[in-house]
Amino acid sequence: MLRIYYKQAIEMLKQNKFISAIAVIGTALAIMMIMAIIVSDNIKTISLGAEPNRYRTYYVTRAVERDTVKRSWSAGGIGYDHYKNYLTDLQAPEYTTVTSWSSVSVSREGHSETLNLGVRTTGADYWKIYSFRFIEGKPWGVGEVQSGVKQVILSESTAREVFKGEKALGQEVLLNSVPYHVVAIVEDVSKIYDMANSDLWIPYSSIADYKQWGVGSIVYTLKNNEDLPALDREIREAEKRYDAQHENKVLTFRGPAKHADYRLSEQASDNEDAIEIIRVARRKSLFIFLILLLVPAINLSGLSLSRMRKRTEEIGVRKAFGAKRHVILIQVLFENLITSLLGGVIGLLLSYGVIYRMKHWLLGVPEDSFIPFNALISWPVLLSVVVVCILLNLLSAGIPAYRASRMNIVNSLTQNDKL
Amino acid sequence: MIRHICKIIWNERKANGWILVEFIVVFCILWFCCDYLSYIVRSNSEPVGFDIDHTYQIQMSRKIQNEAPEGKKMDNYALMQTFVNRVKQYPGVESVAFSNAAAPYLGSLSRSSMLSLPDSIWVGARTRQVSSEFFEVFKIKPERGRIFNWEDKAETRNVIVSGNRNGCFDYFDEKGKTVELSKVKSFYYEDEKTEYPIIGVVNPTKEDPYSYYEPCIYSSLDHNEVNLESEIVIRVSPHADKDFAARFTKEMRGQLNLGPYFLTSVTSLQERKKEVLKNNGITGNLNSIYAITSFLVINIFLGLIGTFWYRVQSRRSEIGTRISMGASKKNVKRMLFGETLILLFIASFVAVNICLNIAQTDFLEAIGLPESRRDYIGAGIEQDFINYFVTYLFLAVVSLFAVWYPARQAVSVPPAEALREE
Repeated sequence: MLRIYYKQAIEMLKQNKFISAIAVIGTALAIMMIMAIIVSDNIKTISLGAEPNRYRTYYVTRAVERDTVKRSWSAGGIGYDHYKNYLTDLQAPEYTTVTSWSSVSVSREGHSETLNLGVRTTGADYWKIYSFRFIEGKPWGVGEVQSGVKQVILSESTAREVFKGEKALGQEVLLNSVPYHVVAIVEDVSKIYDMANSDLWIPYSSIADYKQWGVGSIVYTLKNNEDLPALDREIREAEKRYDAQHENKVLTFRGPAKHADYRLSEQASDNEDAIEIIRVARRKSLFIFLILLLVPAINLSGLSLSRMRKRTEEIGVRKAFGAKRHVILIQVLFENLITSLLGGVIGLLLSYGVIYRMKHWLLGVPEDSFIPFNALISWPVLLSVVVVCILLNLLSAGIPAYRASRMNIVNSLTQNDKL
Repeated sequence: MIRHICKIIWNERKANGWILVEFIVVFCILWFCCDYLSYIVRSNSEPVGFDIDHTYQIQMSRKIQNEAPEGKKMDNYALMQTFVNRVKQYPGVESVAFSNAAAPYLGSLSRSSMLSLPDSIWVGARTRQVSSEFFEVFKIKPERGRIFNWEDKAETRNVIVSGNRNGCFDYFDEKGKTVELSKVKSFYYEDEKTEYPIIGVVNPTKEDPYSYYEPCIYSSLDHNEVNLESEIVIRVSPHADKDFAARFTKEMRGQLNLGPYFLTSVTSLQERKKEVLKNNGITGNLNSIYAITSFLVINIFLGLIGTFWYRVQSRRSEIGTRISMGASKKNVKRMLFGETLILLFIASFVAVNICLNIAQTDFLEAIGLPESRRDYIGAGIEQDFINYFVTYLFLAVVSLFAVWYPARQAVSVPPAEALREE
């Protein structure tokens, strides 16, 4: 049965090439826009490559301290005191680490050349949460971080740039004029991994004033996501403990926020505000999806109706020979689904082109950064393209199909009843 | 003619209904896109007040390891003078300025409330601490009075001010109330006893092109407040501004190793501006608007071309009759175009009502869509008319383009052939 529908649909497409082309282009365009959003969203949240634990990783990014007497407040990254005395040694997380990113000038003793590169400070568990391919050497452990040794890990391309083909491992490099010992080289990390990527990595404790500067963000990785309420409870308890030990102070830690949300919640003034910001962002994407689906659906509905109008007699004949309403309904929907799927495939391919050309805007990474192939094509993406196709199909052919199935036999044969 | 077209529209109401709905939805969205774009265009057309062409930020850092021994204080002022002398000797450098929370696009700002005299009104303003060269570097023009110099600070605490869009200060606690700049003679800070007399007025400034003109108080940097970790900005002569940052960094790195300080980076302020606009979402908003507008336009185009194509086909005999009864091809085309424009007009009428009502609510804010800030550009009701005409015109052009192909096909059929089909 479906084969006949399929053949008929293909014939229909061929018969009126102009209109078919318009329907396919319209569908492809809608699916391109929707998939560009879904795929880039997926790239930002998928657990893959250097960040395989995104799904169970949570961040505490800021501390806001209010003074109840002076009525002033100050906000900033997590301080060393917060980290050491309140936020480390929690029960819920499997791993806890800190990380921050800044730029640094890199040079070598006896060489005049200086490079401005990105450096990431890390704790010991950082290397367990994120996954790097070590070409040479190995990362620091708890002992090295405690003693604050000046060690540095270079990315492959940094090593090449700084040492120009010389062997980098075991050499010394100056970071803001302070000598560091190169202990490992790792493969370059794509910029889409925003917490893993960097040019250089150093232990957070190797910076001279780290106790005053603060440690950046705290990263917790849970054993499984069921522990999240426990983590939240522990963080809230830590705040209470802090308030009890500091007179007239009320401290709020921003988080725990999941990977998809931590950037959004950074702009918020408190945790309730963060929830509201995330809610607004969800509403916004819902609204945009609605527009991207509805406008083409209205468009295609008009087209399908005109097309069905030409087939009134055919439907009348089929009904006169005993075709049931739902059979007509399914046939029209199925025929239309062929167009939708065709548009869907074209749209998905186009969306990759769009993401590739506009990664700066859609992914927030520099134009020259590479995107790993398996981040683009994944099961959630393929599944969502099918779902979007079916959705668009129902929206655009639903009303015409319903009307066609409800037509009166006699009227449609005499062409008195128009759709 | 119009009545006739209206009749035809009514007779074809089933197919027209879809177009009408689509027109309404698209008109509404484009209306808000237009609203936002005109905010962008209008605010862009007004000067920021800072001229940042050929200006650069020089960033210095302190070596953390070699801390100066306790008790021995560094002479920051002397270091600064050495710095200025060396930088100024570099070919092309015109002026060097120091400031705190002052230069545009560098990310730090301070605001404060002050008691203004003689009327004892609390005003709120952006406060900037600058050296006198700051005004040269950014070509900020004095409108009245004079600009302070380094020697001023010793005995007095002279300040320079700039106003909002209307040359006024805003009240600190009462929104909407303002006091004219010329009526304010001096200030007191909340917890200080010193008076700050106003010695000059300069042109108003905004944080970035899409922000509002904010009243501002410039106070001069104190000798002992200045150090090489403050904001340092320089102006370069246009003909020397080629690959300046890289050249300067390379040639001056050695010379700018001053005491514990060393050169970290030289960045053009245009570069900084780009970053700021990206971070505050303006660039993203614009991209989204261009994307959604093109999407809608293509959709409207496809929808119209498809629907009219079908309609023209099913009305071939009618068109044949018209032509054989003496209607010229022009007339037939005009009729089809007229149909489109009237449909669009009906849709626009409905859409405008929807838009004006939505604008009254905080719907846009609730779903996080970019909002046009009419208060920033001093726009009023005329903006609604601009939006209407621009959107209508835009959609009309697109629709006529879409109908053109089916219309040409319709009139190209010989009338006899069209009639025979009946």
